[in-house]
Amino acid sequence: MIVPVIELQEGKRGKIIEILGGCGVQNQLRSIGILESKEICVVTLHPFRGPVVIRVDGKTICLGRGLASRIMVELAV
Amino acid sequence: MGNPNVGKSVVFSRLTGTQVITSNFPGTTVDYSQGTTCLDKERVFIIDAPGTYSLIPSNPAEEVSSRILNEADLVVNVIDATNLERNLILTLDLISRGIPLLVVLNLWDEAKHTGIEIDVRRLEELLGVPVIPTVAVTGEGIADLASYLYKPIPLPPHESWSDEEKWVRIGHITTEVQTITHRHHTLRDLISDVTIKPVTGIPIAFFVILVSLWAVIFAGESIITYVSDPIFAYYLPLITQVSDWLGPGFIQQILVGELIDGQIDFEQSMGILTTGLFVPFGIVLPYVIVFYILAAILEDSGYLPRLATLTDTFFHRVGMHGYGIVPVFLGLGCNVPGILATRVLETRKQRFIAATLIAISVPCMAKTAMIFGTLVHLAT
Repeated sequence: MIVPVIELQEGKRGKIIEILGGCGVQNQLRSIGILESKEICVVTLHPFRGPVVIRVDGKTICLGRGLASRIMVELAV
Repeated sequence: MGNPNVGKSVVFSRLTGTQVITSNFPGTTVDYSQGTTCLDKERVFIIDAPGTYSLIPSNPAEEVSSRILNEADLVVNVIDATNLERNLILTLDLISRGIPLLVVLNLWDEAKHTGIEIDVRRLEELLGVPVIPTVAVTGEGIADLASYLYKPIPLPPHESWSDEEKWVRIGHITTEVQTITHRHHTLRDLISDVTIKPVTGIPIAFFVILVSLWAVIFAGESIITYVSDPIFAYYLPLITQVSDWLGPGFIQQILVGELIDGQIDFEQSMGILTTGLFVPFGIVLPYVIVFYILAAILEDSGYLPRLATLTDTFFHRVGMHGYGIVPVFLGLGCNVPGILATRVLETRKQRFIAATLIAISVPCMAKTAMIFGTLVHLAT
């Protein structure tokens, strides 16, 4: 099942399948280490449309909802 | 030059002996600083550029960086060994510019500590430029770097890639040179998770802020009671003699001020040599000292970015990023560095909101001390 990161629950893991959006968005995310085929883990989702905290390669990254909704992941079983 | 928060300024300080401000959050250097060093009796200009993720500028600090780059004879690219992958994109960008390049693999000890091993020789081969591992904070490897500055640096193989190809290359390079040993869930990870989740993080944030304020008040008052009050107690007879010697008149009014019940009262006399010295040195300075010690602790522990994440939702309501907490927090110490720090915010609108917020609603430590000083009579 392929869903955007913001639809994952806290503590869930997945594999990044694709990054939606133009070149700018893709480069922005890649330059902070969010690349296709990487393992991603949702640390926490802040309430009231707050930021999303994820972990990739042992690094903790905080993203806004807008960017996070562009990362499509495949849920790990 | 290099990514934000990789230690460029520390490398710069080490090379030039110049003291520049370094701190543990991205965006400390927003303007460039210049230094010179002597190589073979020749003076060399070294420029410390603000951190940038790419050569296509997306904020004012990055614009400064790419402008400086156009005038450089040699670029020292500082990269963070713990974040090789995301740092390499800039390295590849620099290589394709065709300027002589040195790669400094900083935070080498940190990388080893977290279980990342990097094959430096292989990385050199793959990139085609010299790579020097360093630990800038302790100075390890800096001598190596300096010795490289003497030698003529071979031009990197002039190649250019499309964005897609760059990412493929980076993937290739990192898998070749980097081995990550698996790390167990450490206490550090646990603390990191707890402080960033809203349920536990928000109470912790309140706790941290309350404890900080309490520590400032407590330690500040202790310094006042045990250090500055005794000093001013010695000073009192001296200034009383001066006052008697001057006799009543205009000069006494200015230097010593009004006598309260025939005595000098440091808080109410309002003379240059009495209240004028007592308030800044006796009351305000102790609080300012303690505040900066505390700010340094919070900064080095890396807690501020977490605070920024937690406050992000709220700050968005007032039109800013959570990162706006950093200038606001610095503004608590003194409004001037706080307002200078608003330069790290991305848009003009955000900078305006942050600067206004600091100016009208964030009391600096000196103001806070004055507030305490004024209100303490009402409390007791």
